Amino acid sequence: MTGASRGSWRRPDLLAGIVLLLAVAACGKQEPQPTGTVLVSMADNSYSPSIVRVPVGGSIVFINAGRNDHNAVAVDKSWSTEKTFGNIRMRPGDMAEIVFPAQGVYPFYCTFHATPDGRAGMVGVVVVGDVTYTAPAGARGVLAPVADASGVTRRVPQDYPTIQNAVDAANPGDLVLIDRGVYVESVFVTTPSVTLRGVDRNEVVVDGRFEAGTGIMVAADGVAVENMTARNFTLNGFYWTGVKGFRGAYLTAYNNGDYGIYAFGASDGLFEHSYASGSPDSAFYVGQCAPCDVVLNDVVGAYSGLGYSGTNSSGNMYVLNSRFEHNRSGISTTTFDIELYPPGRDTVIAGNVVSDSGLDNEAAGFYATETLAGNGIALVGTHTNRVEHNLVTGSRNNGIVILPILDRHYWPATGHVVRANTVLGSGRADLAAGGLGTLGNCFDGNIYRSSLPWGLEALNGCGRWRAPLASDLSTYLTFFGAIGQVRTGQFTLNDYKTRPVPPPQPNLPGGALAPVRPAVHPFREQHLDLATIRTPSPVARPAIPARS
Amino acid sequence: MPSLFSASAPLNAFQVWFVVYLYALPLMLYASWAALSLLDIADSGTATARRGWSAVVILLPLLGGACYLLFAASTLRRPARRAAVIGGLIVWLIPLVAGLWLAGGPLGPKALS
Repeated sequence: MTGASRGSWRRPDLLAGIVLLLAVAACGKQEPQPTGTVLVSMADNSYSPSIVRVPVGGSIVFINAGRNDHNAVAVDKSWSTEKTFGNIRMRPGDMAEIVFPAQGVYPFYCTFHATPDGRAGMVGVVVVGDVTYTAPAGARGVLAPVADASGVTRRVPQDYPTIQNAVDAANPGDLVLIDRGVYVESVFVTTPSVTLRGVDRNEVVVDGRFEAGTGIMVAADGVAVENMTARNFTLNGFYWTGVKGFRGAYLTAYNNGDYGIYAFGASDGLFEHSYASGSPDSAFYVGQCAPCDVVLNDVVGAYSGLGYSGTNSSGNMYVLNSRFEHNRSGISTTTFDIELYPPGRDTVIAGNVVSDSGLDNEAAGFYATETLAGNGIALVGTHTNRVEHNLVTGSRNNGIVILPILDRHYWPATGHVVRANTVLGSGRADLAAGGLGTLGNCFDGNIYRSSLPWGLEALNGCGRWRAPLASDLSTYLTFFGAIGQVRTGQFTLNDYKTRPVPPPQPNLPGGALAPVRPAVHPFREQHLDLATIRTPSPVARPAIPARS
Repeated sequence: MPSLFSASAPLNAFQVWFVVYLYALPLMLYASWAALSLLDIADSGTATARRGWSAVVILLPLLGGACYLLFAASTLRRPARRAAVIGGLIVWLIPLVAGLWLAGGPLGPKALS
């Protein structure tokens, strides 16, 4: 391992970026590759993400995003974020990049906030290369997921005083049933095929009190979390990482400091009937997966920087029949070099209501979401998404916008299909495409009143001849201008801790007695029929099914 | 050109700056240099040379006009040609580079607390 610290991004300098802008046609489409760099934020006191997979030769950029000093040191002492000899302290805002040239599994820890064996406290794991890694379930080692329920129910607090106690005792297929109450704890699930279920979604609350990092973090395959609330965590409400098979249903996550309901490096999953709000980054986030095999169905994302965000999430990624309202930006698919598998591609966004994006000042946010503020659906540096039958209203800037992005590489946005959406009441343009290299996108059958450039749909229809007038440079330049605005600090943000508390949400049908179904293959069980999805009516908005 | 007058909200100086200096001003410089060049081309050279230079000036935006004015124009006074090209570049590039420099720093990390 080699360590190299630096004070700023290794992005191309701006003049080189301009040259890249002028040479984008050469970029073209690229298949998702497990190359590059992964960003790991150091919060107080946990890593996010804490289980990180990088390719051989890839790197991790550690950023201290907390208020305390932190670091990252390999348990085997083979690498660290030490900048110079003896200077092990990373102060808030410091960055350090570590390159991993050899395959293997490398646990690491913070010397200030964890035990040196990497087992307790602020710890993480780097998995380098094509190595199978499953988080060990405590002293029992690695367990295999199961498809069927075991019939065993472990009750909290009747049988176990804490959720973590019950989870640690559970075997694959067990149900951990949590009674009403406020549980001040962070839960880490390493046993596969466990179902965590609250008896009442609104009255089973995991509370971080703005001190703990993540409410429920899952690092085991096939785990379902149902019918409960997570609030007031400095990072995430519910979080699956590095797993295959996951389900989050009838969950509420609000006023968490990074993401509400979050899957990273996870595939074959389902988020349904859930509500997330008040997260500075995004209410729902699915990142770094290819193919993802993930469905979001009938969820609500509100008062967040982004209602839904998908970065480098590619292949069988569906955002369906959901509602994203009062966010800085409603839905965003993005390509970044700081996660694996760029560029993001092949996301289907259909049947959603996206409203009031950036229109009021109620949402939480952070600097990056400000660069997209006011856009209903933004396809940024991604490829071949399908955006169909959505209702997008009241966007402060653009209803549906397609943009390239300049990270370490320049990523044009190409091959998107924008069809049969109703997009109205946008402040700048209902349909917009901007930037060089924004080519091969098509628009068909949309109901809209304005577009940038003019004639965007008329001249770029799907399945017919397309004119070269496919994008508008000023749309990108205003986006670029927004980045400048953010870089110079010309924006104000709401504190996520004070965002609106959501109203009571519907419970899991059947409640505590609902069938227990380990989330082994939730994607395969979806039987998606996109042909039946229709554009929601501006009046009759979709709602979460009535309380059972 | 509705896009020129359609700014994002909230409007800020960087957006106006980049729209002007990365978008509008290059177009204006292209138009100005091409017009001056074609004016000169019309009064000089052979018909073949006129056609050739006209193609260069029109098909190579900015570069064609600038090259013609600096190295090939004959009827316009040299100080005027230099002033048109170098002055235009100064008016365009200095504010552009200043804007890029101001806006081009790192975004910095998230504040997670």
